[in-house]
Amino acid sequence: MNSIVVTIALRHLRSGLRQSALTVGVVAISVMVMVVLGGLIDAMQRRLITSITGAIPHVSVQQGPRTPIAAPIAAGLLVIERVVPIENTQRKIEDWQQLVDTLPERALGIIAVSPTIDGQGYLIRGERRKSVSITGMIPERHNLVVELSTKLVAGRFFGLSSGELVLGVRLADDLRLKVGDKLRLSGTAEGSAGFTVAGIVDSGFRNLDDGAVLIGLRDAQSLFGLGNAVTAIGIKLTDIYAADRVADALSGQFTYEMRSWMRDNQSLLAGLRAQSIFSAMIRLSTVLAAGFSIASILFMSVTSKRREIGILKAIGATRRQIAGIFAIEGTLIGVVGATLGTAIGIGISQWMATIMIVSQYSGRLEGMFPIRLTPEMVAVPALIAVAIGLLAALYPARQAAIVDPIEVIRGQ
Amino acid sequence: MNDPVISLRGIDKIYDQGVRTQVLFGVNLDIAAGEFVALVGASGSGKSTMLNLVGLLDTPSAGQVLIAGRDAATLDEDERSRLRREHLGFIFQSHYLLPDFDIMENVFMPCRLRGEVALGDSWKRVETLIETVGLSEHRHKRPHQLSGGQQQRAAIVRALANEPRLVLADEPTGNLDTQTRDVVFTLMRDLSRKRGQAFLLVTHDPSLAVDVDRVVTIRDGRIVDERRP
Repeated sequence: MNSIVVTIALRHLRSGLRQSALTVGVVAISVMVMVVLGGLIDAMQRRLITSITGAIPHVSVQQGPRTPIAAPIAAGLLVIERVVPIENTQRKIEDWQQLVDTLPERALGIIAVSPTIDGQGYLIRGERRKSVSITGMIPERHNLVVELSTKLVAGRFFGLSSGELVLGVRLADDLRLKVGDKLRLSGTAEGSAGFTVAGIVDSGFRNLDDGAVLIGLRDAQSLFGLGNAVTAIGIKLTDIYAADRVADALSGQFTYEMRSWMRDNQSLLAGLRAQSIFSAMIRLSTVLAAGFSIASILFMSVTSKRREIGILKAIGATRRQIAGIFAIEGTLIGVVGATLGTAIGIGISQWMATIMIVSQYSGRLEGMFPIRLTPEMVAVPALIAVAIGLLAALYPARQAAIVDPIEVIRGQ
Repeated sequence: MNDPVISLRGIDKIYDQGVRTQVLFGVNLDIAAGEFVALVGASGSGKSTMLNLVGLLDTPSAGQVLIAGRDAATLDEDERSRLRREHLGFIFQSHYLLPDFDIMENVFMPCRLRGEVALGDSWKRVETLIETVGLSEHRHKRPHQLSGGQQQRAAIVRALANEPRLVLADEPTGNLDTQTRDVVFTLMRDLSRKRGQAFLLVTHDPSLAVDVDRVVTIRDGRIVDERRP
């Protein structure tokens, strides 16, 4: 194929400039929709997922519930009349130190491991008594799984001494607590201990900000009477969607229960998957519309240029050259439309990202459409548009290639 | 006769579109290099069919079309296209110039199709031809900006651009007034003589079949007469 094929394709597009521009416009709108919609859906899903996984480990190692078995006794069977669930603080992991050292080597993608004690208790401030969730942890390790150090609004998080705690900002507001204030903390069934507020966090996660208290691991062990044990080990992964895989891989190696955030939120993920499918269908429809638009203009071009095609064939153009003209026209429409659509899509996304609203929960300003475009989110729609341009041109190109010059010369 | 540039041997052409119609019956024809041949016949006599076969635009039902030592009937469409652009030039009743290209681009088109680029030797040769036919000042105009005679002269240059051994002209003056017709015919005749290129001129106008080397008459699909005027 030589340069004349490109020249003829360009002249065709120029001679039908209005139609060419309209088709380029359809392709551009299609690419723009794909870019903006892709970015928007991705951002909304990311925000939703972050709101769930931001304050919890991706995989959690816990002591599984133990089911009692009816046992035979001399006079018959020992009948189980009632099963009382073991409290979380009684589900101990005694060998947690060994697990913390070995877990990162047992499955791919583990980037942080944090032993924790999770329990319920009361925060007592003067006459007020408030139910809270208490997390005992090692701040430096815990921060690698649930990042809190950057969300401090007062005090400190790292280097908690015995008798110091960090609490959520709304809880602190509710009890009018500030750094340095004294209070008491009690486990549900155990005694209480005096604590000093060392830090206040504004995590953006409701559960944490409204009613969570973080204390050192040893303080928690003492508060809940756990000796040297913990109740869970939190795991953070490089890929949050690998949680099921990692949990399954670890389940085969340990007797503990491995809980994945994905299994705990199956209905939400199913909803997100449905949303992704719906989004893909919308994007597919726009791509098809663009493809049909390109095919339609090329069919019109083949029809209107039929005589020209016949003459070109009569003076020596091969079928390959003729087909090439229309394939190039389709590809050019795809390339120009994709370039324009990508530029407009990026522009609209950037503009949408600047629209701010006040969060109903935190009262802070936050992006209404937190679009974050990755190179692949921009490149894929553009490449699809170019490919569609070429594909849509194939049939008209074939029709052009089989034009019979004799019919044209006879004026048929 | 010199070596023929094209030979038709026992050509039959049958169209079978529901009804079987034979339009050529055992046609034999040789055209020598530089020979100017007029193919005359009434409408429906088979002369256009014969021209299509000679021009490798169609294939015979039987017989051989020999060009450049090859039997065109055995070649596929793309091979016939290549032979056309190497060895044949076409002039039609209508000029059939491409409307999106200027005159110079139009006449250079056969060369471009075989991969030649502007400003090379072929370009210079085409420029000379444009000058010869008196279109120098119109070479950057679009076809619709030229008169009928000028358009047909441009079509003649396009037919000669790749130095074909044989030019096929199908009623090339059919759409022109008498004066322009004579100018265009004389131009073709002179170019043929000067450049030694064979012409097969298909016409139903007997007045054009005078100043030619040979007149071939076709009737009902058979060559019935060959004479030198």
